[in-house]
Amino acid sequence: MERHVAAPNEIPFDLAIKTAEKFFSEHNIARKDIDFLIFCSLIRERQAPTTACLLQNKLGLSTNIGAIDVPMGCSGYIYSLALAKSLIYGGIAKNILILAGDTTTKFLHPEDHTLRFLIGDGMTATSVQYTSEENINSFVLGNDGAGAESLIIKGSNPRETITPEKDIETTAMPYGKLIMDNADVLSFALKVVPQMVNELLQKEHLAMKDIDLFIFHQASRLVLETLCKKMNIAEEKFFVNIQHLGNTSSATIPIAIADAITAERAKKGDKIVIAGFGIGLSWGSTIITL
Amino acid sequence: MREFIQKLEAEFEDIPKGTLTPSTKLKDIEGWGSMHALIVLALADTEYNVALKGEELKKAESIQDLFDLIQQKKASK
Repeated sequence: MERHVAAPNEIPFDLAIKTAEKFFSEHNIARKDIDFLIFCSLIRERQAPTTACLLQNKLGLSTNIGAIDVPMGCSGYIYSLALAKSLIYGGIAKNILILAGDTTTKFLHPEDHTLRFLIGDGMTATSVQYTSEENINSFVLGNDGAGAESLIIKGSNPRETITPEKDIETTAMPYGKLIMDNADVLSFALKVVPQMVNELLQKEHLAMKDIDLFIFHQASRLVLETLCKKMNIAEEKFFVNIQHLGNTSSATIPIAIADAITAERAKKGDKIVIAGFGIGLSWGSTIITL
Repeated sequence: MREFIQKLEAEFEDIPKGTLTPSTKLKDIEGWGSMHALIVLALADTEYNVALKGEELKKAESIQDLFDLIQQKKASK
């Protein structure tokens, strides 16, 4: 199991600058053409101004752009795409840059070996542009705040009573501490993911066999293997790369899409179901056509 | 019950085959940990179509308890 960890002082803002610069240098996308920036991450540069606004300046983007933060985790990429699609359909923007990812390891207690084994850091850049074809299809989205305690950043709310327990060394963990009830999160994933994918397929009048590849948020090996089994998805249609990166929060889906293309598991014209689920509890899914 | 134990043993790669019996206490199984409880939860879902809660699992002390819990949930569906 491999994963990447950001430097002690490195936060998603820093990774976003590096990722966007690499993106502009490697792809035929001019920064002057970007007309909307979505920054999706749980850790923002500060409370205000928005990190997206700071990134506009750092990246030398036009000042005539919209820029917002989407402070979400594992489901955040799907929500960013939903937002990008509606901005395009609403005639508000034509050339959107999504920077999605996190440095979730900042939330991990040094002795939390279970989560340290699972979590990695990562950042991604996605360009969403206006075309005459509909390549991002329907969405199914859901949220259930009643499940908040199953997966939560403790010590990140100033109104929270801080108990001076070893468990919550908030002073040593300025971003707060990620707490996860593994059993609750597994039950949650096994319940909502099959439901939302079914609903999505019904919306699009498609069957499981019409889908070329399923790319789910790379939550954990057990979650992925159980979902694959429960949903009767053939292994060759189910993409897993968690062994190389760990769980990188909102970055897992875009990284997996890129890896699937590189590995020739996905090609132009393929229909791919992408599904995010996690902290919130929050979930979302859509079908993209490559 | 035999089938249940076989399924459990197939999933628990680190536990030697033939060592589990209905009366085996979970805490006595060498290396038993939260990961095994999660595997039971996943197995209940995929093999028995039963959604267990973390707290229900925590109450189970033996293999028999796990089996009964799944049967009970299945019957009340």
